[in-house]
Amino acid sequence: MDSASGRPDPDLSGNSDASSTHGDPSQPADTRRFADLVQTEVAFVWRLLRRVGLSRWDADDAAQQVFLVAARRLSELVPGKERSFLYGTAVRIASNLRRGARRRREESEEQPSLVAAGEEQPDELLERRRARAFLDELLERLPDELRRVLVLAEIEQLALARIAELEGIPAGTAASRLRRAREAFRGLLEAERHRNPFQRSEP
Amino acid sequence: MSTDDIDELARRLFEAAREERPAAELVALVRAGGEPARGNGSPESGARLLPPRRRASGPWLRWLAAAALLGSGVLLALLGGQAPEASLSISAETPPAARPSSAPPPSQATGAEPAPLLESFESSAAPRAVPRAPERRQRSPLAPTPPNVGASAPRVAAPVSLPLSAQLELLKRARSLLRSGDAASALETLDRYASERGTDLEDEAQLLRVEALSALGRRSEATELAGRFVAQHPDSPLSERAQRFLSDPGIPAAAGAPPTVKPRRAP
Repeated sequence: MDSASGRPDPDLSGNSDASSTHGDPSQPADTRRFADLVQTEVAFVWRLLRRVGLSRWDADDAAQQVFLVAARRLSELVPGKERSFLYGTAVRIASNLRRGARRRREESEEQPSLVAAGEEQPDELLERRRARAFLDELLERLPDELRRVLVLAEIEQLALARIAELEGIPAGTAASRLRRAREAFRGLLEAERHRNPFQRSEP
Repeated sequence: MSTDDIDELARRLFEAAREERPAAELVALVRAGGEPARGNGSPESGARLLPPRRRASGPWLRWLAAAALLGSGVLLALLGGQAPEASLSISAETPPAARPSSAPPPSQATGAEPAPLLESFESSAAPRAVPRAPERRQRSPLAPTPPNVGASAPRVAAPVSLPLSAQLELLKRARSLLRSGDAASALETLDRYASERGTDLEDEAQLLRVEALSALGRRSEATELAGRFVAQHPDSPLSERAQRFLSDPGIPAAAGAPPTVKPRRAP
């Protein structure tokens, strides 16, 4: 995916080195490239969609849309720039979804499901859900551009240069936004100090 | 709360967000991509993914269609010697990665218009990254239809198994409907799933049905089904959840609207 060749390998006949990796000439390079893209980026895309304000279910749908667009335009994607494309697409799709319909309350977060119940301990699960709901509530109060850089820096733990690249802004602007975002977030936390979602589980 | 406390709280909040993952279903379905239909490989295979209404509107299916399109374009390239760009460039939009880094991202992509829907899935071109559930019924995915079957029903009745990706889509759809409180439609979706041939996720579907019935107030049916599930699948990891339901029938039902759709029985 990160090859520096500039354009994707046009050889779909299975004769390229990459295509013959598994000895299956019918396994085209673009198919594998797309599978790789999904594998490496779907969690990033989905988490981003969640933290920019979509419910789990809307995030599911939006993630599908993002990869649908990626699948359609795979041949146009410059290797190494896939994440930038996915990021920009995800932000736009999320923005449209948020405009079209206000965020739904996540009843699923409140009601256990027979099938969806995992192996996690209910207390821990609840604590983390509560924490994420609290975080989202705070993030919603930030301007979008600050919210995104904060998510990229603190949750995705990306370097400033990468954040600047994804946002399409100069590094200095990214640094400035991140500083403002952290200050604003800290202010929000201080204002809501009585609502520590972890407090109940503390010994 | 001190500054350190604030920082610690922030750290834990971000950590909780970092731990959140998409459901395995989503990842599996996206990975499955244009999984080939497991039927006789005929064009009818893909066309039978879901009823037309769903094929035309659901993002999952739009995605699948795009993945199928990808595979199909690849096949065209193989057969006709075309460059991949020629077969895969569906839109004339500006290449997304070609824009300058300071320019705003292209807005066209947001539309995510449905890709032209293929009527078939090309079995040789699509990845199969998701391991299939164990086969529960005898079938021969890619083998030709037995002559007597094909002779008696040449076009319509060719037996085709539902692709795992489409199965996941149906169950996800049912679950989403349950979440949104539309248990009746969820039940209808589960009925549609049950009517499909060659499904692999019956256990999961049954548990969802228990939930749907319960949400519709049909507790006795839900309890009976859960009991039957436990009896039939005592060793299934899902039995524990059915058992949990049996021990606490008052499990929260998805705030359901009154049933508006009569479930149709599976043939």
